[in-house]
Amino acid sequence: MAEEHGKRERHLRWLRDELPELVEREVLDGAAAQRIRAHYALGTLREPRNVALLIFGALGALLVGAGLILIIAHNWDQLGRPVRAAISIGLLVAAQGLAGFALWRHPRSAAWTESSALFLTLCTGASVALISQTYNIQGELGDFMLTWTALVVPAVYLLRARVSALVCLVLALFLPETRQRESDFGFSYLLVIGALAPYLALVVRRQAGQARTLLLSWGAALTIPIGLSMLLLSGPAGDAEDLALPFFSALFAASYLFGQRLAESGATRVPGFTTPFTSVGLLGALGFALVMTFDDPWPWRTTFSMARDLRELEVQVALGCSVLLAAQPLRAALAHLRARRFDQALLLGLPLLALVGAPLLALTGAELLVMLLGNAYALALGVALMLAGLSARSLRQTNIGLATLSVLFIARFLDAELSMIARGVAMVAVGIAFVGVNVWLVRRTRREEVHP
Amino acid sequence: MSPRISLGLFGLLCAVQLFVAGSSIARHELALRRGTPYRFETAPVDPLDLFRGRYVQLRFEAEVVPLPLPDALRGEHVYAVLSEDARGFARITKLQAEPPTRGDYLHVRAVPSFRGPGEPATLLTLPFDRFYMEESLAPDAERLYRERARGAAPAYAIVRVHEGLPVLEDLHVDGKPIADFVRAAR
Repeated sequence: MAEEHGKRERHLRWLRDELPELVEREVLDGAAAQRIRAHYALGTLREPRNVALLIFGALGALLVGAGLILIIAHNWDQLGRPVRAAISIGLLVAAQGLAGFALWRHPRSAAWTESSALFLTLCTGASVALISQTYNIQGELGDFMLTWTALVVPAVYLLRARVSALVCLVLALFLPETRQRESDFGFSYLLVIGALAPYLALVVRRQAGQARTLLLSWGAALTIPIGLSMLLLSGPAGDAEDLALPFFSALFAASYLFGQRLAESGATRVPGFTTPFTSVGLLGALGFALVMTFDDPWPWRTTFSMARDLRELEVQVALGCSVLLAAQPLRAALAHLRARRFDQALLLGLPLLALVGAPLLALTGAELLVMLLGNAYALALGVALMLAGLSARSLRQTNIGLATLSVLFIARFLDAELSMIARGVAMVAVGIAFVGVNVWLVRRTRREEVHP
Repeated sequence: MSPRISLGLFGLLCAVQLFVAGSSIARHELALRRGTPYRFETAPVDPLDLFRGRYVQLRFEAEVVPLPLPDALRGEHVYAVLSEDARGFARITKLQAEPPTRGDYLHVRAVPSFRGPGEPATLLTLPFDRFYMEESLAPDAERLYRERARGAAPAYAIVRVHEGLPVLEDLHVDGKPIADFVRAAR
């Protein structure tokens, strides 16, 4: 009986992993794939035993590798140069041997390939660190990280190692700042991300449901915005910081759109734990929509300050990247507008507000006008998200819209010159509205389930 | 990708990793064995690198060269020609765009500077500013150096230079290797 159940689960997992490819090759459409997922309850499948093995294997490799790096960082004075050189090469060869064995004997075992690749990744770092230390090789942390990641990225492809890819994404975060004064101005970060991007795109399309893909996707969705902002906004002159509003609104809209495009190949569309790009994009975009309702974050008050900043190369680069990132979301926003999906159109249209609002304030100097524009946009976005959630009978989507409206109202009530009583009453009213809409929606959904 | 191709490419990756590690060891080992030793006067301090451990951060007298930086070399890496002063410490005597045909040199980043009013100089970033030490020794090394520095205990780095590659071999305080100096003072 148990064996029968295990076999069924194996088949269902196979079906779950096949679906994205079937949709991509147009054997099934996205809606049919979604129905199959719901019918077989593929979203609630338990992970097989080898996932536990994978987790413990990867954790073991991480602890051993990180421990070796720390032991090496002690800098053993008693060991001579030849011994240290032998240890650095020996470590590397041992890790290569283990990874080679995994590739030769267990190429289909995620536990073997992931753990051995992670061990190789960390031992490569330990080996480079030991050589640097022994010969007092110069260079900042960024130089060391660049050598390390460059030597490890190919192993990600060969061993199909998603945890190692995540480690590379995290290590690459050291590059924008520490290599800013080097010949690449920190842009080697883009090289590392670019080298990992095809692998990331491949796994999120083909194996989106797997836990390790989800881990990598969350890593990418969170680290890439951080890395890009460090690279583009924290230049030596510091003037590009003024472009935070257009840059982040474009970046988060692009992340949301990327998540939605992935959904078209069969993955889920609703923001949540299984949709990192959509979730990070949505939360970031909503956050920046609310930030734009204040007057302080807007960059320029005069045409003089705008023109002065726009003469700086780093500002031009950040602006160019913002426009490039905004292009696809704005195109998609237009398509959603034509299809009367106002929530999506408004969300993806966020970069337009930032790109128009900044020069508008510089040209007119009218802070109130830009603030009104920001508030009108946030209000429209909150309402549109709430209505879309209500019409889809989705508690989660409705609450996202409600939360946006609540934060907006609370921010305005706190801003306004009102008495404590008025502010308190307003907050209570927002809270009651929040609970009321949820109760109403739950009751209505239940009623529809009983009398469809 | 077939298993044979995967294994072949993995073998190639292993070879590249070993080449990078091995050639780095070989080049630095060669410089240490065959390079000319130079003594650079220095002042150590003690920060921490998360991955490579504690090191002594070095600043050198020779970083400020009493020579104006030619306009053609501004914003560039330059070749700094090495020699020794009367006390036996390393000094940079010339800055040029090409490596010299004879003698030792360093490839360094250079920016224009001043030693005083009307005294143009060039500030160099010497490519050996970290001396890695055992974690228990580095803090004491810095403290002892600071205490002795008031009494003018000279500190200098021994750097071997071979075909333009400098390798920091040791750091001496009061005529002793810094590790021995710290142990003797404990």
